[in-house]
Amino acid sequence: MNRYFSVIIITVIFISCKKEASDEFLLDLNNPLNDTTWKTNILADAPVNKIFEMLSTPSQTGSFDAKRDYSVHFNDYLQIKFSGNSCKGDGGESISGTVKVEVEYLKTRGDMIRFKRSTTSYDRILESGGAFNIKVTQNGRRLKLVPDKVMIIKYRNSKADQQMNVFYGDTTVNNLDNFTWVPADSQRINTWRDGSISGYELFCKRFNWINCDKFTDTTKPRTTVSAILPVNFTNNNTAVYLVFKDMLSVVRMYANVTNRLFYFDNVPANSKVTVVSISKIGDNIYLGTKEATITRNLVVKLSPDKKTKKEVDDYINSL
Amino acid sequence: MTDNQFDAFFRKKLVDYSSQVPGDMWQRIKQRKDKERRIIILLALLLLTVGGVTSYFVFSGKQQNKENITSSLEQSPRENDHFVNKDKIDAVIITQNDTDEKREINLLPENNIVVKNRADSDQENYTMHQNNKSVLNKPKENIKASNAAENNENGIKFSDPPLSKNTPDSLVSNSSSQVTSKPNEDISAKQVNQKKSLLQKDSLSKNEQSVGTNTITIKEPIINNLFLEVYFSPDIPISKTSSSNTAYLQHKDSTSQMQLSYTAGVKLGALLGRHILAKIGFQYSEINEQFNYTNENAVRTVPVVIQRLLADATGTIRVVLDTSNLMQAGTQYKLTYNHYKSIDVPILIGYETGSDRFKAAINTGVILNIKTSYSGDVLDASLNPVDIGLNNIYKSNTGVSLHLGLSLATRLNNSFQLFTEPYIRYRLSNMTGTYEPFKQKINVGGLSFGLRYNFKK
Repeated sequence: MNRYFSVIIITVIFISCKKEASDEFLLDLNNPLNDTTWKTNILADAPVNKIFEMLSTPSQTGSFDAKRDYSVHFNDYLQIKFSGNSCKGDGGESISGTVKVEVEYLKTRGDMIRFKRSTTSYDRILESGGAFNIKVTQNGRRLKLVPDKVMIIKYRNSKADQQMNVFYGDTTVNNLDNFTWVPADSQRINTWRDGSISGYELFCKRFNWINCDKFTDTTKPRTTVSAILPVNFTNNNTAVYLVFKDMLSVVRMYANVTNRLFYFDNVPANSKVTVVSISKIGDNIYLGTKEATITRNLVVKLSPDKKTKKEVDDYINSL
Repeated sequence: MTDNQFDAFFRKKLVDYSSQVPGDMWQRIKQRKDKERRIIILLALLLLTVGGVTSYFVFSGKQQNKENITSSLEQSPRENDHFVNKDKIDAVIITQNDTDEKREINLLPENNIVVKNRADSDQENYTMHQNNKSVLNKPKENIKASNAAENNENGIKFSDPPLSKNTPDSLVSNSSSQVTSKPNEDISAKQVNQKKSLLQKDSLSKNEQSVGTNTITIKEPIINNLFLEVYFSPDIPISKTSSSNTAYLQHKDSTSQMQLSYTAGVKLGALLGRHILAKIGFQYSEINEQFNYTNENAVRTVPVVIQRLLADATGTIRVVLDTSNLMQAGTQYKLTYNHYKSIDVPILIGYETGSDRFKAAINTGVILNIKTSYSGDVLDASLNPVDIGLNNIYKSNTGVSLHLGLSLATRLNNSFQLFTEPYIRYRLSNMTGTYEPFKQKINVGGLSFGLRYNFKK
């Protein structure tokens, strides 16, 4: 009988022993989500730069005979007129034969984000009437415009503004995107109207980045706008934009590494904006948006959500 | 920021926060309470019915016994009278039970047989009575020594006339102080072991004894024994899970592993007739399960507070505190021991057989679940661990199970028996809620050990 009781007692003790539950989480230090450091220098292969590679669209292409006057037509009623013998090589040599022209036409706010081109001239905000990146090549060699020749860009714009000027892109500056818009010296812009259709004619003395811009109203009071995001979203993986609703202006906000936020100064007060953040962490894309009216020292808090590339594309196109 | 500051920050923000209660909340609570109340009332009625029937059988059996006892008491004075008379008998017969040779005593001629009665001994009174019976039951045996007439001739008178019917007994009980046998007469007092058979018959009370004109019928009670069982059983649960989502089923099977479990309880039982058992009781069961979850691509969120210093246009520095969630990627290891705790009512019948010392029984019946509660974790449809007690993943009442067991018992003493019973418990319905991504039954095989206390010794 004692044996029976021993078996029972041992069984009871065995069953009643409380087993320890555990809930452990081991951080994966190689996972980009765990990299929450803000960088002073953003490398070319940083995730934030991959965003734009991912979102960019292919350029339009055409060709013409370098010796003759030629008008090349592209989508969206874009027309570029080249004069004969207007192209030269890097060393100044004249070009003959067929040359290739590639055009990136930035006509929406989304295009400005997609091609990483803020409408700013240094820290001054510009209002754009459309921007272009024109590359002329022959056998892979980049060509230049002969100094006394002009290239005319004609396109449609429903709000053609005679205050607009030609701005060229400066890729030599040392800023966030290594880019800024600089006013052209003596080029002009014509507006045209054909019935209900209106547009611009830009007379350009350069290839590459060309913008139809004007500086925004400087009489309004200015303020600083800040955007803060969750800890995982840093300047190494996130780009934040101020997208103006009432004008074709898109401003990429700078990173304040010390305080872990994005900001931009000299934003016109009472402007209606959408603050947009696009992040790439690992293989995931995050999109954060918030609409706001600019008030004094506005701080906008964003909470990005994971999105697909198509969802981000669709949203950008809708801006 | 310290933990206290962190807590204080949340406390300050949430101190007046109250979440909205869904409109149909009270209605749902009321429906659930009504359902539980109905179950409790049904169980109470069932217990009352079973208890009432059991009590009826128990007390009607006791009443019958009382009547029998009363009848016996009424009968016993006569017998006592009879024995008193017998006490007066000087003659004692030497009752021989030992050997067959001694059973037959041939009284030689001229021998006076003096049979001494040990008058004060009940046993011997009983023996004499038995001897009477034995003679009664052996009418064909050759008893030549005496008859009623002869005894009467000897002038022995009995106060109780009916006993004079026991004429064959007169050899012993009706004898006078001296029984004188006639020469050459054989007195064959055959005392075979009928004494034993008579004892059995008396004890079983199956005989109808006619004393005078009264007939006493002793019936066997329907409930021969009542007993209480206390038992404990280590159990081995066997989970049967099904799902239309194969991937989910694979993950569920890989994360869950049944563990040694147990059942403990108490049952009240009755022996109906010689072999049929009926039992009812309460038992507590705990099924244990190990939930071992590993997710190599886990992301957890940790609330953090970031302090930022913002300079406005005038150069004034502002402190901005921002609470946000920090997402962390890594591998999550979660080990939980799930417990499925049930309170049940077993209602069993069985067939018992065996010797006085060892008994075997086969038991079967139903186990009605009263309430089951759950603790631990389970995978949800998106393969993340969630609290098993949330969202009615499992039913709080799992319905009816079938029980089949083979019980082996050994007697410790007149009151206690030690028993063991290997058994299986088969669940008839699923334990999971209607909208869950899986269905699950947990059957149990166990080996109970327990003590049985017999109320009737």
